[in-house]
Amino acid sequence: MRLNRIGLTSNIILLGGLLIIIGCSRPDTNATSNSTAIATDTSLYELNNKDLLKKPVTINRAHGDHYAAVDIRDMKFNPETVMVNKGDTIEWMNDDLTAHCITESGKHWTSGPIASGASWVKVISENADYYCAIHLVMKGHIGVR
Amino acid sequence: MKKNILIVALILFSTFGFAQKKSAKLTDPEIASVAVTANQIDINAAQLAQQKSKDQEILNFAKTMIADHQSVIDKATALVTKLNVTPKDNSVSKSLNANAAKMTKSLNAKSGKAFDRAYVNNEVAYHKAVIAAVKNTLIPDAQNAELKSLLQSVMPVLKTHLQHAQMVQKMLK
Repeated sequence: MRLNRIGLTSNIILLGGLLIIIGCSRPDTNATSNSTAIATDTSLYELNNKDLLKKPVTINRAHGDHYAAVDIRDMKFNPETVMVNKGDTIEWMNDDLTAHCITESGKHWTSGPIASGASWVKVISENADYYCAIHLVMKGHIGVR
Repeated sequence: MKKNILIVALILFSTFGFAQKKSAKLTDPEIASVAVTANQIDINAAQLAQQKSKDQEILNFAKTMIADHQSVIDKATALVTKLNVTPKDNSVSKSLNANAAKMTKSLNAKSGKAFDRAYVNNEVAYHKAVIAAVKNTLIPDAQNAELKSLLQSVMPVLKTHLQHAQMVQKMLK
């Protein structure tokens, strides 16, 4: 009886923990009008670290697996032009000292501020020029093959 | 031509209080103090711009300056805490504050477009001076590798700020 109760309690804790992890893993829902295009597939995230709740979400997928990464470092998007297939996911990782954002040149969508050490993902459906609305001189391009 | 560029650079360097004799090498605690002071001065100027300007480009630029320079201060504070270094006031940081006070007084006396132009002109000149000081004095003088690395990583931020300020400067003309 006591063992059963412990088992039930453990399951509740595990379930609660899982729900919290999934909740924290979701991409920024504050993105503007085109937010439906943002990846919501939580399987993209590898939840293998107890400290995950305290750290920015990290995607460890290999390049080319319907996924491409853009590193934001030294106030530049690296690479400046990223080529993907329609439906692929791009992750922008902010490895800079300051916050940045990814804003489509026509302002149809934006990531909102991405803090230093954090990242943002979006499923790509079409070509786009983008810039950082915080630092107007930072520009990038997404090309769909 | 080269001589003229050198003269202009020296004027900028000394105007903002970065003038430093070659022999007087800064220690790491002094560099930490200069770094925090230089960032705080630009935050203060941006806060003044937020109070006095109505121009959206100026307001956006000022917002970025506050966020970015606060971020650098936070990183520098975290590093000196980790290294157990106490920032030490010195002739350069004192000179920076004294010159910033004069600049604030001058900006405060202006309003409207005159203020906007004076603020952004000052931002262009200030960032040029800070870039020169970080590159030629703070980075070479820094002894601790992590402090040197932090200063090196600040350089692209400062250069982007300069480009941004120059862009706003052109928009105001």
